[in-house]
Amino acid sequence: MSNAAPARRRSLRERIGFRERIRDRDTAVYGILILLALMFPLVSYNITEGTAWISHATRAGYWVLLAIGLNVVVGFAGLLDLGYAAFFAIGAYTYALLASPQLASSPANHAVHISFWILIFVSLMMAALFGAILGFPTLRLRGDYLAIVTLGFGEIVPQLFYNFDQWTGGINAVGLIDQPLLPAWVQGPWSGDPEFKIVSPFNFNTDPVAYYVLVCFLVAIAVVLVTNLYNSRLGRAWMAIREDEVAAAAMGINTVTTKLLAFGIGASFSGFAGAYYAADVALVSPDNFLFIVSITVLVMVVLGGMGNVSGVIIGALVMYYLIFILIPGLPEIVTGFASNVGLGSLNQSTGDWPGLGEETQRLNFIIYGGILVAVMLLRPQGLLPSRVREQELKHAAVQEEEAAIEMSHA
Amino acid sequence: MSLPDYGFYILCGTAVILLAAQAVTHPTQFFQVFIFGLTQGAIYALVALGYTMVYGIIELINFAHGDVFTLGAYIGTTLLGFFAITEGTFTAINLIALIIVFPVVMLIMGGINITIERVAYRPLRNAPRLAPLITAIGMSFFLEGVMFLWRGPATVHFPDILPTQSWYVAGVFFGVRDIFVVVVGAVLVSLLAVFINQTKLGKAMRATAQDRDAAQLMGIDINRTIAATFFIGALLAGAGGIIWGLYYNTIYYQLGFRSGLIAFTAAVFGGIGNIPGAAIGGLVIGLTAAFSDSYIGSKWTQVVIFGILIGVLVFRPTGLLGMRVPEK
Amino acid sequence: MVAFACGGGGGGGGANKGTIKIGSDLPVCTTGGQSTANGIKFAVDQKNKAGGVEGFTIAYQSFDDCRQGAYNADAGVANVRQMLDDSKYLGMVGPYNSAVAKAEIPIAAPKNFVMVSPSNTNPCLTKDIAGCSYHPQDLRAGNPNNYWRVVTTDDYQGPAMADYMYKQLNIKTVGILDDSTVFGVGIAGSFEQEFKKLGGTVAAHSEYKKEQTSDWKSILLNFKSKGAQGVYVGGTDDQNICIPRKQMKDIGWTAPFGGGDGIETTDCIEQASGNESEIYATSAGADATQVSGAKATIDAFRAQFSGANDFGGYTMQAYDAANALMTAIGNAIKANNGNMPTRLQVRDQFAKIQGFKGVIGTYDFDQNGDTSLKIVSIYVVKTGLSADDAKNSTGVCGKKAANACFVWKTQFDFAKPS
Repeated sequence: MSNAAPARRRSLRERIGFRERIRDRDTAVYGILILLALMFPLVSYNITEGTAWISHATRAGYWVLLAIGLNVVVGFAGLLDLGYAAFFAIGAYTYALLASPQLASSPANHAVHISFWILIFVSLMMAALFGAILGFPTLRLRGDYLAIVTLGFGEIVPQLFYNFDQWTGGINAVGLIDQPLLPAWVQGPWSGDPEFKIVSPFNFNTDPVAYYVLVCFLVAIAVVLVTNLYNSRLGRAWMAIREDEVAAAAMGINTVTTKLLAFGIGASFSGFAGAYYAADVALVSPDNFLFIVSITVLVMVVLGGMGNVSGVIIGALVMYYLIFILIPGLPEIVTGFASNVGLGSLNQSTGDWPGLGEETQRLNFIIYGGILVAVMLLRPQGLLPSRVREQELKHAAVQEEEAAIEMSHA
Repeated sequence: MSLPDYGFYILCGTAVILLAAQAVTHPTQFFQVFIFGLTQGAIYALVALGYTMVYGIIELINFAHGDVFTLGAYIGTTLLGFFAITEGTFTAINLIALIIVFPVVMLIMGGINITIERVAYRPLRNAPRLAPLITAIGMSFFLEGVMFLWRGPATVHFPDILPTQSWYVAGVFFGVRDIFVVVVGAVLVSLLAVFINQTKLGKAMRATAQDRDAAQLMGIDINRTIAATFFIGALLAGAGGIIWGLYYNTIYYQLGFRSGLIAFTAAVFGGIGNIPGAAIGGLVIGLTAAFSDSYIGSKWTQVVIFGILIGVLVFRPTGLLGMRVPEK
Repeated sequence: MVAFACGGGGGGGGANKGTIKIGSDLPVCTTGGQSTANGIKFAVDQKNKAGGVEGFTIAYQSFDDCRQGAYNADAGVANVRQMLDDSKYLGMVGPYNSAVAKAEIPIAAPKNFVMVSPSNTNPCLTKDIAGCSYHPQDLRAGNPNNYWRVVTTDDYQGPAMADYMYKQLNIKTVGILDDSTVFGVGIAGSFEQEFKKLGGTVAAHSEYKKEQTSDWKSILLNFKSKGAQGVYVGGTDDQNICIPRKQMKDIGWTAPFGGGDGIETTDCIEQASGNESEIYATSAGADATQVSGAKATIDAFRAQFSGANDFGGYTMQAYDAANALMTAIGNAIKANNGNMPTRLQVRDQFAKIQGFKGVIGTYDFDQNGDTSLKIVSIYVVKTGLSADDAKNSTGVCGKKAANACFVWKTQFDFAKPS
């Protein structure tokens, strides 16, 4: 033992692994995201003199939460879920019904107002519960049969919320949903009383920034939870199932339980997002949870890079920008551009020509569809794919090539 | 692996008994609704075939297929506009127009679908499995956008040029158009079945669906076979689009998304990859929708259709006629 | 949060003191929404040609609340937020759909942003009555009212048609179909209530959703086999509400087909394809032939917007709404010594409007925001009109079926005690 070299004292820098962390792409992405998240309110106030961008960010937030959740099901465990909006609806309605005057006009005859901070966990549990209930009999199904069952579930749930209108108000929607209230110590005199005011009042009723901060916290919590899950034993089991279910089962993984957990945990995030959504929008109608929502979240996940949490967040933000800001804003951009370059006459409608703005608006579908196809063709693995999967893909591509060469030689 | 089959039989048996009770107590309404369901189902079946063939061969839920179907109807109504057709009655020109327009639209749709496959799916054949699913969704939006740009968001009229004769038989009302839909649907499905089972290309398709690599080793041109599958699927979708238009006379650009979803459900219902299964699945869903609208209430129809779907899959995980093949 | 700074200069007496923006939030992807936007555009153009409002030029921006071809409350909310963020916007015309209004009012009310709807008819938006799931004052979050409408409510439209069908068309049993939208469910409900009160029987009340249903024959057969002598539909053409009219023919059923203002549209006539006659529709407001001077405005409009579908069931209502809004803005400028007024001032001035002279009549607004004009007109589709008759029709006509138009039948005035 005496000839063993004494362990070299590692420098502080090495111990933190600073360099490695910087090199690690995820850390870099998260770092940039955190920085942007912090700067965003200040910058957007100064640029737009208003809260439009902040309101957009609060909405983008729940899409991010949904994408993170669906990524657990689709990206980690490899189960195709086409009815994810159903769990979102369950979360949103749980909050909406238990924190609004709605139940006063229902057979229960008594309005319920429970605090947001409690209900957000109740919503989470409800969504997870329904995920498990749906998953239990159906997760034995293989491959895309599961996708169809989830699709069916996604069709049924909003319809049920519509049909039981005695309780949910049906198409009239649940409105006047309570806003979250902060505990007194947060709202203390130092935030409200002008004499002692240190920070501006942090009020969910009037200030979208409050929601912005809230959703940033929710997303951060979700990211930490999901990343830890991914690196856990369960995460590895999901990966094994995704790659080869039979081999995973042979290795002693209980595939049904593991898939059930993916389903339940994935669903729980949309419950989370649902409660937040209900509070932010303050109006929950069955029309907001249709198939198109499930599809949009799926597109966010795949486009961002399945299986990679940071990629999925980027995917959700990019898609949100595309669907809710860029494409609706295109007519204005195009007409503005046309008048700047002296083609303003194109903006007027004459005869069959509806005007440049209107024409651009009519192109919305084509533009959106075209972008989806183009992005997927250019980056089939997503914008920011998971490292593991990237390796696999490269490996597979090499194998294909080798096979092709062999074939051509044969 | 699956729950015992008797669960499935109990489910089916209950439905049959309930319907039989209706058939005995209110025969007129029962058979009238049956006709509605049959015609609706025949069209779903035609669309479902395209889904089931494509899924069988490349495991892709081709979301754009429903929009190919709608585009067929849009092209059909435009082409029919070039003929001196008379609406509301049946003339020789109507017949000639139909005989010309049917194959032309089918071929155009076949060409379009091959192009879609070439552009949006073939480059992704070795990509992650969900990548082509996203391009399919993108293509679906794209096609809807084309129809939106072309004819606007409102409903579009499809010429009413079928014979208008109709009869009351024992109080049940039906017309030539009902017979037309069912007969043409049945003929097309049978032709497809014969094609798949008897021809060399059909055999190549079945082989490719079973094991692509082995098929390739046997000298089958995979790209050509897959393109042929898309072509034939689109032929049927185009025919379905015209039949839809002739039958309902109103089309709109988003028709396909929903009908496509229902048709895909029908394909799964019958056992995906299975031609007769898809046809039967289409009929079952059409009938379920009609009976549910009439007996249970229209707001429960979606719940009933998808509830039955989930029920069937729980008890019979590979669909009504699906083969119990071990997973690769 | 938004600073209500006065828009620069102000004082100077010149002809152009600056620009004031008004917006509209309509589903312009539909012919109904587009023809409504035309009415606003026409009103603003007229006003600007006549020198603007108290020296200010009015800039009109049309926002679209369509998403994938149909109105969407979320899109509407985003549009209103965009207007609220630009302090030059002093008010808006719209929204078109009641469901959108329900989502938008809570955002606009705290900012005193005036909304004038040309077409919202859901009573819950302004009236605290039984059957609503919320109170109008809650919708405004305790702020003073910022929402007005120039059309009367479904609780008049539904009963008017119930009365007409029961008494004039002699229908004692009816089947009711609604399109599962806030508007459709509401108007169908008020029809059903009144029809039963009159002593009629409802064979069945069914509902459908646009994206789920393309075959209504089973539903219609159910009505027919339960003895219905007519069908009442609550819904709008963009939800395909008139396709069932066509399918009635397919099941060999001839019977009147009634509905609210959502079916007094070009697209409805198109959807009926071949079965247009005997479609009865109510419209909130008086027919132009019943109001002196209205015909001239319509003719001037038609001269500027000559397309077949440029004129719709709400074009003149939108024209009135835009003029009422500009009147309030004008009064607010005067009250502010000729300077750019604040949104609050515009709101206060709108609340004071009395005896507004519009194309659809002369009316006041009550404190809830409802019009005193409680006239409901009844139209029926006549087919085979001559080209001249179609062109001069005060009701809308079909596009392909250009000789099928809605023709005025009669009107109910709920303001007068009957």
